[in-house]
Amino acid sequence: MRFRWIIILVAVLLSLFHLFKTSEGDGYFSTKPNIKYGLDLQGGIFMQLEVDTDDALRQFIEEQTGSIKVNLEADEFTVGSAEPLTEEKTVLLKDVSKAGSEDVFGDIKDAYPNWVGTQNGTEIRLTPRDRLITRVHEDAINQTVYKIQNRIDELGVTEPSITRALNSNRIILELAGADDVERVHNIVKEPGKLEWRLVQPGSQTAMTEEELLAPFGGTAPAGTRVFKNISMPGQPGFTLLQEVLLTASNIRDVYPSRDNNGMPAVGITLDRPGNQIFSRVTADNIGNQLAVVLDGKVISAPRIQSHLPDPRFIITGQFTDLEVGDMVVKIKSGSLPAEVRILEERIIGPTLGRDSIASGTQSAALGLILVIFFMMFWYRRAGVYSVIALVLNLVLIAGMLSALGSVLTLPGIAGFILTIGMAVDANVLVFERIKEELKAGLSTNRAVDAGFKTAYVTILDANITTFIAAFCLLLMGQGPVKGFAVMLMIGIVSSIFTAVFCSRTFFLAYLGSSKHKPLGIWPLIGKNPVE
Amino acid sequence: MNEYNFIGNRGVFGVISIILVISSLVLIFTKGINKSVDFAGGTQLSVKFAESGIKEDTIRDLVNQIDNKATVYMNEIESGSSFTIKIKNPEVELGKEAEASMERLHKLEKVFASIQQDEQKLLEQISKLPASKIQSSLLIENPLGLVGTDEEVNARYALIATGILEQIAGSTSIADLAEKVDSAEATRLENGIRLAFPAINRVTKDFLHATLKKFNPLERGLDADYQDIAAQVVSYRESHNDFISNLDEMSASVQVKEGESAEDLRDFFESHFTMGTYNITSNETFSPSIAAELLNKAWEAILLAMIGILIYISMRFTMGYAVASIVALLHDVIIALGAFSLIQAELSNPVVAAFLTIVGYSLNDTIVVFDRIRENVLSKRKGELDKIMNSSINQTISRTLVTSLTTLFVVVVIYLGANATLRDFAFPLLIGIIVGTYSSIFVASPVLLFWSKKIRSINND
Repeated sequence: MRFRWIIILVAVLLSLFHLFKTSEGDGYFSTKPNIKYGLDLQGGIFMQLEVDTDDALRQFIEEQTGSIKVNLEADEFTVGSAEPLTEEKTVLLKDVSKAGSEDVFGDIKDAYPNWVGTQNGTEIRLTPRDRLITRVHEDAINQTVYKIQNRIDELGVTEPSITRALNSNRIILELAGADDVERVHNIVKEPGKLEWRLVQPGSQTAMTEEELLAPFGGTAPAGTRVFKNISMPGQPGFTLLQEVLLTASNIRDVYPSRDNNGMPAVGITLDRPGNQIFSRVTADNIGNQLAVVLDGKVISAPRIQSHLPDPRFIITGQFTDLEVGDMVVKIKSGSLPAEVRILEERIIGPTLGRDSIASGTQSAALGLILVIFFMMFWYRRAGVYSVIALVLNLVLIAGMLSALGSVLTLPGIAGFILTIGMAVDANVLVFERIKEELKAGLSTNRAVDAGFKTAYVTILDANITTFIAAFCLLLMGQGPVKGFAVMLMIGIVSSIFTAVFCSRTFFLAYLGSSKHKPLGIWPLIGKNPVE
Repeated sequence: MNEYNFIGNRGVFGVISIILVISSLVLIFTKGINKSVDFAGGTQLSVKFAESGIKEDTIRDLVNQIDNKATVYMNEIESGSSFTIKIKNPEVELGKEAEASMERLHKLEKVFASIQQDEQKLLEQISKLPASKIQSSLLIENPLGLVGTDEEVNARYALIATGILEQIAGSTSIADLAEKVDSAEATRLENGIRLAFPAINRVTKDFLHATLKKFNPLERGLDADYQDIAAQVVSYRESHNDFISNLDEMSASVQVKEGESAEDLRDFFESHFTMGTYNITSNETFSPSIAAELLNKAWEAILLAMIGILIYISMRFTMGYAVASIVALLHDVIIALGAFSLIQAELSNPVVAAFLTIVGYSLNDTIVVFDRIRENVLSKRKGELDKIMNSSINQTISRTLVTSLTTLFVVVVIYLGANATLRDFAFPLLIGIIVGTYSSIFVASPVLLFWSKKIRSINND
């Protein structure tokens, strides 16, 4: 008997401990319950992203084409040309030969075991094997998660959560308290690819492509491409640029800075090779414009006034502080390896969640009061025991919720409310059984014993089936619904403990050793068939 | 004690059940189930207005001009000031969902602005400002992208500021005003004016902080940090139903540091912000591909749950019990879906949770009865199964009713009292509990009896 009370006491104390322990770890207890609210209650941004792994493979093929050529040439092959066929995921090599080699194709196949080679005349095609493709995909997803993580960290959101959905190319992003969705879009979607290219001399930024290309007879000259120009806010234009001179890989440091007028600017420090290129380009192109291209758009195209030998300089433009900060973050984290799509996006204002908490709590309280009154009316003393068990149940559920670190969501509140009803069911089963046994003429003590013992099997069967349903929901569901499943499972475990173990302890304590104490289990109205 | 002959009258109830199930199936296949945006794909957003009394039709007409498939609902608790807009299955190019949703949002913002004369209020506010304040705001935004010496740029914006004050009285909109002031640069000037006077009821905390830092109204040090002020303004707004209606009161509530004046803050807000008449409180977008996937997962969850339960019951009892409980379960889920289709409520993620709860609940009820049947079958081997079943149902009926009643209390309270999301969840539960109770008495046992007589007797075990 004493043993039973100790178990109950330990369970309650453990729950209260987890519920009120501070997360700071100062050893003091906080006054606020330690329950984490889900995004739907707290407000914030939820996004489900998909990494375009095909795009990653395309980029990989493009990168590999160059390096395969360079590596072959380093091994004294002569390579006529190397071409990326991105749609076929193939590198096309033409006119490859090597002095003193009988079997050029065989040599190449040996050098690239992760690629499938096919030969057609003088053409050799290399296609990545499945295991290499898988690795490229995996790398792309992991790098995207890592880089988005870095970018979000710089955003300063408290407790951001960025997780990769198991075995898929999906990323789940949860930013509690964030509200600026355009900024988050920008951070997660823009690759952050920075390049410097010279503006084609003799061309002028124009409002339309036709206008831009008019001086060149309507087509872009060889080696140049048309880029969007967004350096003037509210007035997009087009600019003709030459090939890439420098990329972010040549940057040693990037930081927010200011120009001479105190306007926000991006500060850049180049590494040695980068500085050599930059120094040479600025010396050779005085009077020409050097465009800064971020994610395929010109953000600034200053005219080169003088030779710039210094590795440190700034990019100026029509930027706000916030924009400069975001640009720095994107450039610093490195460009994303593949395109990212936003599959699902939810922005929830904090007040909406607060309304739900209020309305959910009210419903729960009202429902609880109704159930309490009914139980006390219908089962009197036994009803009081079940009510005490119910209150214990609520404490235990809250305790388990915070101990497991689960998040309380809106469907979670619904699950909590539902648990009230289910917990009562277990007690009802027991009480009805006790009544039957009393009617059958058993003594109070034996009736209580029999009631608990026989009802116990039924309670277990019924609760385990519900538990199975909740478990399936946990496996298949996502987001808020998962919260519901967790709540239901916690509720079932706790209900069995309180409704069976705890309330039986109360009965035992009341009955003690006397055999014919009246139980007071019959309704307040109507005839009492036994007592 | 009098026993009601449930089993004897099973024919009547069987007919009722069959009629209910068939009409539910007809409803499901003709009327269909109304899917919410998370299962259909699309956007759902909530908007709140500063003043109440807006008619649902007004919003609907305006929103339908942007997307004719959009539906508009008034959020009941705050009548006429808070609305939910749903756009299902928008035709969007694959991979461009985010851009499309941003574009739609910008169009909707224009509509919301028109409803309580957001622009007119902005014009009115600018008209009260001295030219020097307008000039300084424009100077920092530099919408025309002017380059040159400080004097030149200053002079140009001073001219524009005076122009704005001269023209503002007769202007109908910001675009109109910009056109009158400088027709050559009208679009850029229009954007510039909007940027220079953001709405305090819509700005994000980050934006507020950046603006405060830029203008440094409290003359804090060079690396002015205004996180504290921005956070207080936003939390004031949240605690006042998402709207700041009185700048004086708001500024007074902000705790400034020692030696700083709340008065300066108030002046700053007045000259650099407009109030804003609407606020988008939530915005959820689902791409069609993810929506279809979510729905599939939900069905998988229900199917998986049924299989798991079938296995568990055939282990604990026998196959006959398992089949009978699944029949009762299907009966309940189909009727609840039928009722759901009848009132055309929306199937969303939480509603699927509710259906799963019905699965658990219906079984719970059935198992209690079956447990008693098994107990009685084992103890009185020679009795007739019909009679054993009937007395088992009678023995448990009191428990069945009490439990259903207490659970119903709670669900009815949620249904009547809570907000829309919880209510969508409570409706199928309400139906499920009633039907679940009915089926545990009138459907499960007759099916078990049928199984025992025609296929394999449960007495033999």
